[in-house]
Amino acid sequence: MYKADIVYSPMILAREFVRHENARMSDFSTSETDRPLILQIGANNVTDLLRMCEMVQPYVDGIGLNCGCPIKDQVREGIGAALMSKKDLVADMISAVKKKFGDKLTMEIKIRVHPDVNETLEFVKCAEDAGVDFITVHGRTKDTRSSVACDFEKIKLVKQHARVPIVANGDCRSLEDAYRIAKLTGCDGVMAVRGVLYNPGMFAGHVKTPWGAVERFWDLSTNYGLPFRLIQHHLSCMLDGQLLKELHIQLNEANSLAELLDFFDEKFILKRQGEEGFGEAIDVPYRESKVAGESHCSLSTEAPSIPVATVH
Amino acid sequence: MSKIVPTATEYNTGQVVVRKGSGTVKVRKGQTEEEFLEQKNRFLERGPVVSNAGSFSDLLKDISLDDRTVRLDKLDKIPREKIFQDLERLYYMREYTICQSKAKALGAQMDIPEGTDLKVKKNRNLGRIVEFLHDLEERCERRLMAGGQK
Ligand SMILES: Cc1cc2nc3c(=O)[nH]c(=O)nc-3n(C[C@H](O)[C@H](O)[C@H](O)COP(=O)(O)O)c2cc1C
Repeated sequence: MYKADIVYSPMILAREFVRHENARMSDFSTSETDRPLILQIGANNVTDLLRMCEMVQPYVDGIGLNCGCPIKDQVREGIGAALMSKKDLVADMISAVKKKFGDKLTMEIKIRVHPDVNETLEFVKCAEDAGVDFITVHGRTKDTRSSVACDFEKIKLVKQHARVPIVANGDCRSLEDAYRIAKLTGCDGVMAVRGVLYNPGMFAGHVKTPWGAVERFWDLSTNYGLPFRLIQHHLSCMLDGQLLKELHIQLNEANSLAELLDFFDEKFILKRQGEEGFGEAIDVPYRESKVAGESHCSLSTEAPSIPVATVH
Repeated sequence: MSKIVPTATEYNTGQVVVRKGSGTVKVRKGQTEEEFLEQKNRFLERGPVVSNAGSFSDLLKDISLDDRTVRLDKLDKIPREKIFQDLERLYYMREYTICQSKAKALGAQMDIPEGTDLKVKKNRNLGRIVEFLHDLEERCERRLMAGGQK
């Protein structure tokens, strides 16, 4: 819809996934339109990873091994960023997956850079020798705060030495940024995460979340049964900076889905699927009175597509 | 009997040794091949939860909302949340009359003895269910009074 070429699942822990039905139910749901989909896996050993691949392979286009998550609880378990210092284990995990599935399952790894970039280059070489299909590089080390700027020079060096496609990640907040980062690093794709959370229309060239995306999100999330607090959080991010402050507070303070919807219907014109102009408005259509006209509609401008990846 | 030495790099049972921050060593239990195959088959039978933009009429017919034997207070969390989400979807779709009647029916089916204190700890869950249904019913009423049905 908004020109993302690849979408990613959040990290799903293999250990729990292969052992517990409840974990599978709550962690992984998908949809026919979620394609191409890379399902990202958190694992610390070959067995859990292979078993998880065996289960999910029919439903995804590829899997990604998370080698960058800095959350302490995961790192302590040897998952995520802990793998950045275990290149041999990562290589074993990659070659086990590729040996078993070959071209039937694309395998990506998502890494961070090391303080010494030579270590990253070595890591990448190891992964390539093991058969990885492509690599996403986040231009921060595992200890760099997200408020510190992403190091595109390191990503560029990785790209220069790599044999497989490289996707650059970090600080891409607009389509312009995507083109700039692609040019600066020479990478084959650009992944955006916070940028897309705050503006899902970003890759289609929208400079802020188009209201149509808000309408589509309401429709899809209530259809899919996303938990209320997640719906509220996503809407809060999507409309950040677009609403008067007191309205944004009101949005965040709603305590049930029906209350949130009452707020939306009272303050804005929120069209439903099937109504004329559904999903097409750009600006926030404030409802001045109950009989406010249905204006504020315009079609988004077409923007050229570039190879990009997004986490959703 | 030889003891399984967990290695992370070979296919075995997935048993791994984890070193915690405090320096203590923990063993994360493995999963036998049989246990795994049982889980795998269970998953592949039904596949993952697939959320497609399903047709709305299916939801209106949804048995879970019409079934007279559904007791929200006796359901597990996952199916109960699903029913709540179905009701919320009706509300979103501006089907206030249907939403209200289903919420009412589900409330009545719970058959809570008179005088039950919904504030005490052991009834807190029940209290939440009652409050959810009641709030939704009231909101439907307000929308209907304002001529909000589509
Ligand atoms: C809310 C949130 C959730 C994230 N979850 C994941 C995750 O599951 N897996 C992952 O590899 N990175 C995850 N990340 C990190 C991002 O993938 C990305 O590396 C980081 O945010 C920098 O990119 P950005 O500047 O485009 O946001 C997450 C980031 C945020 C903000």
